Amino acid sequence: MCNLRMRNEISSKGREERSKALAGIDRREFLSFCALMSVTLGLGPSFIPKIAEAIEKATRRPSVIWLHFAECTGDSEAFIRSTNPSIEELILNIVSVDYHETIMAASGEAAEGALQKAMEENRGKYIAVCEGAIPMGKPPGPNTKKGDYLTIAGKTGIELAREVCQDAAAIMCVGNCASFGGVQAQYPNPTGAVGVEEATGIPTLKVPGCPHNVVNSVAVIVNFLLLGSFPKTDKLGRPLFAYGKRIHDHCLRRAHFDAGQFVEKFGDAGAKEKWCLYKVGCKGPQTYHNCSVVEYNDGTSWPVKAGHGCIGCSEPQFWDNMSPFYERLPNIKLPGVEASVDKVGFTLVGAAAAGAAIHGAYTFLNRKKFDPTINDKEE
Amino acid sequence: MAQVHISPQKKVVVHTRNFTNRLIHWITFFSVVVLLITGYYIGDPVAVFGQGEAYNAFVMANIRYYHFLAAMTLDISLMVWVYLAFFSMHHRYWKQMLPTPGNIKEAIEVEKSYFTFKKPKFYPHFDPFDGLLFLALILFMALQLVTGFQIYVEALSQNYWWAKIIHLTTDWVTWLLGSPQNVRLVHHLMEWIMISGIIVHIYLQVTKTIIWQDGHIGQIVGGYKYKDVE
Repeated sequence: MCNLRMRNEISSKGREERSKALAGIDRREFLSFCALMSVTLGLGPSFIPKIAEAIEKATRRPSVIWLHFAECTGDSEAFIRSTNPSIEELILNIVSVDYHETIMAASGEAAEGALQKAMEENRGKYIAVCEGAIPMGKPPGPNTKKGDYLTIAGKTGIELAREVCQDAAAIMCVGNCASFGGVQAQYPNPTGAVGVEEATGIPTLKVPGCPHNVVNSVAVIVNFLLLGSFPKTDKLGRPLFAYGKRIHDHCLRRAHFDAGQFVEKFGDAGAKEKWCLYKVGCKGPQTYHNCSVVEYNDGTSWPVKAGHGCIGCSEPQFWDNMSPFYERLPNIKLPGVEASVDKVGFTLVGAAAAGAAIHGAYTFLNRKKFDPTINDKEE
Repeated sequence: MAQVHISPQKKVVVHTRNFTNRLIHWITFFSVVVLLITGYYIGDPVAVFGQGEAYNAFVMANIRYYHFLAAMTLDISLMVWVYLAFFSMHHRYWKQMLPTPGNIKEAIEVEKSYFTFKKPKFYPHFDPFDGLLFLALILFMALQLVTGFQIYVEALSQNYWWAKIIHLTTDWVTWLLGSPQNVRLVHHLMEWIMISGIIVHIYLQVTKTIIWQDGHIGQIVGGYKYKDVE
């Protein structure tokens, strides 16, 4: 029905635009993409034609400047290797990726020229997509300055981020590194890596994850095309449509959690039955993400479906906070001692019980002091 | 041979605890016992598992339900307890629980009496040493209340205004403790601290009753204890 209605709604101008922007994508793929976006954004089926219209009528393709900082390019890999062909084809067609260090053909001065040109032409209008944490530390040795751990074309990461982000219409951080610092910002953090928002002081929209889920990042851009702004976020700056609920609450193994059926160790009978991974350290109950709904790689799989617990990769400082990954709770770290909470607890209860027992014995041995009947007998 | 322990001193019966006071004690007792058992299971599911298909079993969900039920009961009895500490018609006990220099001095005197076996001054409800222990237990329970409520609230979506208000009232706990994992760590560690505190509490009440022969432990059931007549 949507299909028919949309065909009627599309103007001749829209058709022309579509022929330019969406060349090589068939209609069915395009509409299934629009439906996916509408569902991901939580808008419902009535928005499918509106999304289609917004994409088709996007007369000026928003310019995207994609920056790489300290990271593994995993988010770009996830982005360009999404199995659904329409996503990356569409995204490359509906937005104009003017600068992307990994996938652009230009190199050297031509590449830097493209960056400058894109920034000047679209000042205040482009979307800056940041990938990777920004090292803020000063390397040891002479002739070094703050942030020298990462240098691109003679500029440190922090200089580049400030330059590009201050003139952007909106900034999207993809991946946990750009959002919260990621793995390299964890203890002992030798390079002083921090997230882009912390480094530049400019508020950003964050799509964390390791890697980010492409469906969510694209949905953010579609939201930008549809409404001209980024979606509503939680207090950490993550879009609520994707990070408003915990993994645990939509988990496909949740029924086994409620039933009290748990995997005791990997490879046991419970694991074969696909029971809940709560006891082997799944961090789904404290992680906000929509993995359990949209899954990764075009709905192929995601960690819990594949039999491994969630490690909370969309949460701030997940490497430090969520570890140990195969235990429910972190250990208690005291100077020189690291023990599990239950060990500390048993020690406390044991100390209390031992204290009571020792005082009980002491009282019994001194019973003459308060028990007059004993004194009477002895007299 | 069992010794009948009869003090030669004359005693009078004194009414110390009214019905509300005793009722709150036992509501707190039963909810804490339920919370400790169910809480241990939720933190580390042992011994009881769902049998058969998942749709037939509801073990964890039921245990969590009773945990929440007991938690709400404890929260309300705790609030009533704190209210009565200030506004009770019978006995306003808040002054006896503050760690003021006077109270601490008296508490040390009481604590010494456990080793010297010289009978301390008569305290009608609880002595200052117990008062400080109760204050610690109340603070631990309050910490359990806020951390537990924060873990409970995490499941609520932040999309609705009413959920936002609830988040506003509890999210400072995560901020204070650093991470959601630390909230769980504190909530779990508190369980062990509560058990230690309860062991000390029960031991002291029983020992006191045996040493001083004043029916101290009976006052939480009957409301009366004995006072020596000079």
